Amino acid sequence: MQQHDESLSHGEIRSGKLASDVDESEIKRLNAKREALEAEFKLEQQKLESIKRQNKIQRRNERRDFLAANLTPKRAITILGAIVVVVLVGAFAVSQLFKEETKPVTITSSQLEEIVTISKLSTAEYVYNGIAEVKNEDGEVTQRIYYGSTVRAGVDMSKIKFDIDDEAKLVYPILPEITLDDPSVDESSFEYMPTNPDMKLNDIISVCKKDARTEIEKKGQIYDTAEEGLRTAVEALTLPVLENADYRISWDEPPADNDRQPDKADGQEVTTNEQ
Amino acid sequence: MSSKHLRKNLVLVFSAILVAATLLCGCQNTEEPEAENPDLSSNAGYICDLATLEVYYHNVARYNQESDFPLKLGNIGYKRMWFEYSGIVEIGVTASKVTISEPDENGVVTIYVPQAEILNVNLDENSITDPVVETGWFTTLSTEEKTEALSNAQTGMEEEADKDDTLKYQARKRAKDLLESYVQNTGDLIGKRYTVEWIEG
Repeated sequence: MQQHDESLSHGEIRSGKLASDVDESEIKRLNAKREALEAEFKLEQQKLESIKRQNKIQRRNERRDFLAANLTPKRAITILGAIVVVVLVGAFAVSQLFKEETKPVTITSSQLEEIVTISKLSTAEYVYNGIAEVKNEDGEVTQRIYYGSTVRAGVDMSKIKFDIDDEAKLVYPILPEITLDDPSVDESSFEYMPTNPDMKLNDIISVCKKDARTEIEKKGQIYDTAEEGLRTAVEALTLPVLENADYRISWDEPPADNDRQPDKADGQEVTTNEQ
Repeated sequence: MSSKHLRKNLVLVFSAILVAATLLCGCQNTEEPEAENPDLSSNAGYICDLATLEVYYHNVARYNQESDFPLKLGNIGYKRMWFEYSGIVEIGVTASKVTISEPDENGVVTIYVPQAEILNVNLDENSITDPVVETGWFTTLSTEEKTEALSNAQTGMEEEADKDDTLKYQARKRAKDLLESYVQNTGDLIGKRYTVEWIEG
């Protein structure tokens, strides 16, 4: 390409002489030459752009041919799948950095169903943490559940009876049989091994309650504690009234007497076989 | 661009992001596992509680966890569960805090009964219905989550019962009736007639 005269690029011919002193034909000749060079320059530029466009088209065609030859549908799906996985993993990783953990929410709607009046005097409480086992038909342990529970023991207060010896001024409390309450399991304490067992909630709780009851009854300690506590409670509730009238409580067996009938704490006489 | 060159670039990019993701995820787990000694201890303790009301509640537990997956794609992580069951609350007084005075010259016995409180919380396991469950893609509800929901429901029920002053009043009143009857019948046993006065507080 010819070098372009910079002075001509400004579109005017600069001369140290006055225009009147220069031959007008010379000016016209030089302007014409400038215009010709400008036209040539434009032409060169257009050629250059045309070459660039052609190169671009050629590269595009080459890419298209390359992809057509190499990018089979299977490869395309694989690459697309890889891109999706990369995007998901990347998004997940970024989200972990700024994540505020979403906590589960439990809403309970409670409706009063029934009120039962009772008179349960509990005098011993046993806190038991254990491992309940679930076995299959062959006797193999398939599931273990760690749990915490509380078991109470006591009596129905309305069934406490008294036998009285007015001559000796002795009162013999006759205590009903101590019973274990239904164990109360702490659901927040449950842990499973293996985790996530395929068990219903009611089965899980049944197994744990049964295990707690069995283990505590086996130990037997709770019955002694409950009886001791019950005696203390009866004395505390009864002595203030009895001592004022010079009566005392005796925990011995009342003497056998066909004429004397035991009385319930509510004052009703009890019919016995001797009658 | 040759296929070899393209493949190499893709593998490099993919590996880089996987490594970065693994490192970032690993950054969250910095806690060392706690060593827990199994506590199989048990203890029997003396208590003296007089339970006078056994209250049955019909509970509906609704467990909900929203998806926290990016863009909530497929609602992955979304969990919802409903189930019903009967919960049992025992209300009464701590009998060890009850005080009974000796009768005065007029045969009046003064008794103090503390305020009623919740003594025990239990549930009827046979009343638990099969949970109704809805989850997002690739999401399941574990047994641990089901028991967590049940535990939270029990806590909610206990809080509800604890706010019920009417029930507590009824429980305390029944305790008073029981103790009054007890004192009067004990008096009848020994041929005395006693009346009861209450210390409020």
